Amino acid sequence: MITKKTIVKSVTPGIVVITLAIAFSLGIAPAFARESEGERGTGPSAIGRPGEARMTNNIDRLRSRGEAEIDRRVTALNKLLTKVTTVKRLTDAQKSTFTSGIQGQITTLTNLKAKIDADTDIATLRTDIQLIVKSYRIFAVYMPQVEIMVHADRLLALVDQMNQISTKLQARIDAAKAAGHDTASMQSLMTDRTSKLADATTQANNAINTVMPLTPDGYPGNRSALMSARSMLQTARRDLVAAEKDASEVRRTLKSFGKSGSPTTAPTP
Amino acid sequence: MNARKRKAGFSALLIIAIVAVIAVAAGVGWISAKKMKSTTLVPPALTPSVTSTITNLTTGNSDSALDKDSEDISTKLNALNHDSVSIDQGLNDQQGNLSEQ
Repeated sequence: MITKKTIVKSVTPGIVVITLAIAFSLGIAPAFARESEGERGTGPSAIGRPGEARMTNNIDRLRSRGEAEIDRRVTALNKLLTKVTTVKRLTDAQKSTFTSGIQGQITTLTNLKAKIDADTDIATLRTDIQLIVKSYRIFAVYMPQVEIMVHADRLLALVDQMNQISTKLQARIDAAKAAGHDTASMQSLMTDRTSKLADATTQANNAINTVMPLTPDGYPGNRSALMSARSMLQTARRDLVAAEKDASEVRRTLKSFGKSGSPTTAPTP
Repeated sequence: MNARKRKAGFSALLIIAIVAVIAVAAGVGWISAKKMKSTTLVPPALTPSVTSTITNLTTGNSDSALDKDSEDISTKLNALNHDSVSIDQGLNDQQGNLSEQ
């Protein structure tokens, strides 16, 4: 018969065993996990030499982090190299300045990675890791700087296309007016569109001129200039969206003329 | 006899429970030890902006030609949004974790 006494008697040793097991496994499992990760050619097993194992782990960890950061930057810088060559608004000399600067940084980081890979003591490794840290300013300026120039360049190319479309729309409006349609509202929209496209051009050119002279030596102080250029491009994009909306209204009105048939006679002043 | 059987069954259940708890505790300890090891934090790579294809405008100014041109412009305006994401990623970039801990 199972009584309270029986349950207590049989459960108590179990509780003691469970408690000891939990304490033991939480203590030994982490040490077992560290051991099984393996160590990088530094000699005998760390069991029994915890200080040496910790140092080796530190070296491995630091090396891994350094290499990962270098890989990240080199990948991004290589993409940047391709983008720089597409910017039409840059002169050949300006492109050459940027490409040589970016390529130089790629080379430096690649060589540093090879050195880090060969480092065997923590002091040398720390020195090399510091070089990664110090060179961050170059990356931190180039990335937004080139992206801003690429964006402004594409924006200006789009403005050129939209101006060509404006010419087409104006020809349609003129034809509609000649046919006797009331084109005042459309003309007003075209005036607004012209104004928006002109402002977008100004903003984009100002953005390029703002970021062009920036250098890594000016980091982080020149961040405000980068932010300012970013705002200019936001304004330019809003201008383009508004200009396209004007064109959409004009097209809608022109289509309605075709559907309605007879023109609306313009009021005689 | 029945009491003995019940007692034996109860002890077996207890042993199974103890073994299960030990296994779970060991697993938890293992997982927490793995998590404690350094994981290199690599900030996400920058998203390359969409390369807008350069297309010529349609010839003529008919309704259909203007509509086609408008579609082209809309596509390129959307591509500019991708560019702006790349700019923001460049401005907000964070250096990877280079600490020893």
